[in-house]
Amino acid sequence: MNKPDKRIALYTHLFSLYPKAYREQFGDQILQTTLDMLDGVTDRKERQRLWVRLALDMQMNIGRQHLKNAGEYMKNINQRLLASALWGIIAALAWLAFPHVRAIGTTWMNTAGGLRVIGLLLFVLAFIAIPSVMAVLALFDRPKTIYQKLLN
Amino acid sequence: MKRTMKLLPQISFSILVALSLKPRHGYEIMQQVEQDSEGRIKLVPGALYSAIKNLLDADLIEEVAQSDERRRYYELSDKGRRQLNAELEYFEATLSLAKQRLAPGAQA
Repeated sequence: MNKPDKRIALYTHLFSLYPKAYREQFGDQILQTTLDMLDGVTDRKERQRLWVRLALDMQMNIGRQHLKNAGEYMKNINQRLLASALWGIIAALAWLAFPHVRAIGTTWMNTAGGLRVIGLLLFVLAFIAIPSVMAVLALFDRPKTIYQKLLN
Repeated sequence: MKRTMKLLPQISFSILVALSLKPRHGYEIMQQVEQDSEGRIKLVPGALYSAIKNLLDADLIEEVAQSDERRRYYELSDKGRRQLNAELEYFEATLSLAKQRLAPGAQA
């Protein structure tokens, strides 16, 4: 096999952001399917479009899998407490930031526009909070052998 | 179709249709789904294996051993075949109903 593309190497390392069980069950197959897709595209612009689709897919799927795993994590009292604390911190930050964000919103836009910005910010924060924390924890537990084997 | 049987999401249904002829691995499933949908459905690996996981958990598909060690193949289980047939019956009935209602002169 040729020396792996750096983007493939980065894509492979990002697999560590998936939940461990999902990664072990499907990680090698997702990577193999991705390599098959890339092998099937020779046009440069098509490959660039494919990489964009793959990046967006990975971002969405990592969040989706962590959220699906949330039920399993909630069975453990310590992780339940951690999740509750995280949501509390997010809620507190949102409450503290609300007057300032609302002020900015009403200065730059009308009231409805400002509230839309706030809503969007809260949505983005909630969407990335859980997978971000789980990703940090997952970084300490990264199986290297599966993907190294595929790339060699 | 039994009332208790839930309809599958479109991607899961499309995967079952793709597996209806023979066992396939992930990339083959993606290609078959795109071909069956005439290019309307283009799967990406994350969405594909998320759906495959759901189908495996529901026992609608099974993993089968093939000579290609680098790729895992999947096939319809008996339960998956029943689910697919039931959904096709439902869609046929719905299609027939829609055609009747859209026919010229159809009455409410």
